[in-house]
Amino acid sequence: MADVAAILTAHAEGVMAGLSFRSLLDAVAVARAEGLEVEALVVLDNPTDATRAAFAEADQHGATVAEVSYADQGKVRNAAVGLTSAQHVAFLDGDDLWSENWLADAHRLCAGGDDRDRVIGHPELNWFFENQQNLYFLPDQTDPAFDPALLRIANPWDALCLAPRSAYVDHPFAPRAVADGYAYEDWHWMLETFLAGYVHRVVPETIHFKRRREGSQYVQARARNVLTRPSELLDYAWWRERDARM
Amino acid sequence: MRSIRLRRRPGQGVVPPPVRLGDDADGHDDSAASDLTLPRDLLPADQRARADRPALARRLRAMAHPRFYAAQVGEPSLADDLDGAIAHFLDSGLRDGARISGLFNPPVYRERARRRGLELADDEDPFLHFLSVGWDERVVPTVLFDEAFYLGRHPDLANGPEWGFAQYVRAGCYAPGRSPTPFGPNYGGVPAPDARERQDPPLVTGLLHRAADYDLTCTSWLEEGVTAGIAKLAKLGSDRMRDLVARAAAIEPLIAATPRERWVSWPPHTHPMMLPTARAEDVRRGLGLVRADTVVVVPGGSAAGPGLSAAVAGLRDRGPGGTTLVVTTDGPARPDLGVEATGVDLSVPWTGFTEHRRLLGLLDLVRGVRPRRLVVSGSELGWRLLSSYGTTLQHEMSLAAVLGGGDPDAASFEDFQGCFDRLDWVVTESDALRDDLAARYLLPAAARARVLGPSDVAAGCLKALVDREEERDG
Repeated sequence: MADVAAILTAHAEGVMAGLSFRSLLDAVAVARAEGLEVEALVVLDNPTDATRAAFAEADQHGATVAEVSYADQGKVRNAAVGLTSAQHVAFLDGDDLWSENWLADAHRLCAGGDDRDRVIGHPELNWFFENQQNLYFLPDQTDPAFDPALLRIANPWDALCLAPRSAYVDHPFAPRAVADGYAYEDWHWMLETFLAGYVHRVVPETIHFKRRREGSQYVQARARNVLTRPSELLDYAWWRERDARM
Repeated sequence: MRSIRLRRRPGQGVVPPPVRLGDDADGHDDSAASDLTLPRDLLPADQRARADRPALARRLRAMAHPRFYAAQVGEPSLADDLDGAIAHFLDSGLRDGARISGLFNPPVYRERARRRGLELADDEDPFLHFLSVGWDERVVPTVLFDEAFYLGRHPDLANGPEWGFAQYVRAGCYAPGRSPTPFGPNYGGVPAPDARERQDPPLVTGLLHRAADYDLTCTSWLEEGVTAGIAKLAKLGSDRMRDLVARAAAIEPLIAATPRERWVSWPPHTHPMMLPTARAEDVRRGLGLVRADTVVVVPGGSAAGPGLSAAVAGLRDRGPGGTTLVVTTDGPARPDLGVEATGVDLSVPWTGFTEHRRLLGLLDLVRGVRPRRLVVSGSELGWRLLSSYGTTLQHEMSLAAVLGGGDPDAASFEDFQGCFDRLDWVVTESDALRDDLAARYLLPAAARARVLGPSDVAAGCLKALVDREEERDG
């Protein structure tokens, strides 16, 4: 059983996905050099011809390619988890990049302690590029100043994390239902994993480089006034119980 | 908040007479400033001869933030009294170590002045030193203003008559969209229309956030957060981080492109949603309940009209025991709806926040108490909730509205037509408005059945609608 599955998902990125693939392979190489067994997987969701072509020689780089047809990022990730039995899973979008130390350092933090089945690793920094050049330092849940009530108002984390496979199996991403006003399946996943007792940690000195383009799913979701699906974490009754416990 | 009432500098039992500042020589309307007197003994020794410069009084007055000062000295009445706050400061607050300005930080100023070779003697007050020396030397006395960043965003100011910090103090801190650091407007608020007159910039809200946890005379939540953010940002300069960025940029050169504009955030220390989160938590903790059968959203400050009264009475008559939560969005006075109800006001806790963030606050409350139904009546924010998130919320609760009150205007019809498809029922404040809507929109029979006037409600028509709604929702 592999230690980590490094999974790249793509749809219509075309040749640009090659940059992300190269970034993934660099991170896989660093992790393998540190003794980890890493499996590289590419999952294409209704790919354009150009995107499919971008991975025509992926097997020569040691990666397995699978195709699905969901048009739903959450379902794609759920399916991808079903294709691996690795202990930890890390996702990369087809237009983003990892810092090359991501897999090795995140695995060390997540799998290195007694609570190895309950830690979800996030990069220290999301470095946005292209249409937006902002820097977002992700919060660590164990920071004494961290207030989980923030989760009701905003999603402080990102689906491009490294997590135990069980987190994805026990808490699959909810399907998108934009027509019904529901999206932000990654935010909902954060709510559900937090409720289940997973601890969201930050991996020091790691970076995810995230391309911000017009029309990205995040930008579209914001424009549509959609919400996360209901969650116990949005429910004041849960907070009253938490207050009583604290 | 830690009290400073009992704290005084050693050796200050005898207070020398203050220096009276002379007339303003440069023609500014500074009659109030020119009446100010500054304590000569706390000025730098080599500046005492210049103590009568009206510029010092102008600077002091421009820097003053009475609400911030009032919170430190425990005198709420000074929060809206600029002259009173300055007088109190000169009379006692200055010697007690209080800060009259949220844009002056003594330790930061001392350190930055020292780096400029401007050592402060022990008996020199850092704030008066800044007014008399640091201002002229352009030493920025706070982490809350990054001159290079500010001028980069507003290059027109670089050639203006005053240095960037002076412009920010005088005008920029009261203007929307004038972020003074790359950490953005993380104080959560927006300027009130009269913020400049009252010298109450929105950053004061951030300075006073969790005030009990900080010694405001030398720091605050906002300053600590930005300081932490600066330190975090500085780590990007480490060899390790620079190497990681360079390696990624070797693959995708856009990563290393010089940013046109770069905002930095790091929850929980500096992030635009921290204060909205705190407000949402304040509201939740003060609510006293976690479930409500019916949430009624009203503006507050006015009596309930016949339509709203009839609708609430109609819901009550279906059966006792249901919890009604009345939410006021624009004024804290709750209308008498003739039923037992719990009230919660959002207008005061969310004062100064953008419309979008106020909407998030209402949304958090509505989803948090999981009501069977939501009724909006006359609240602009409530209507915005229906129009923005009604598509989603209709899967979680029944949506309804009371329309009218006074003469229905274009906005009323816009609200109606923008939301009607998502509403289970609408009660109008008059039967005439019900008829107007039916005729104006050529409502078919099924739609007309969802639009009730007060007389329809009195006749029991609402009960039938709600019964069907509950049957549908199980």
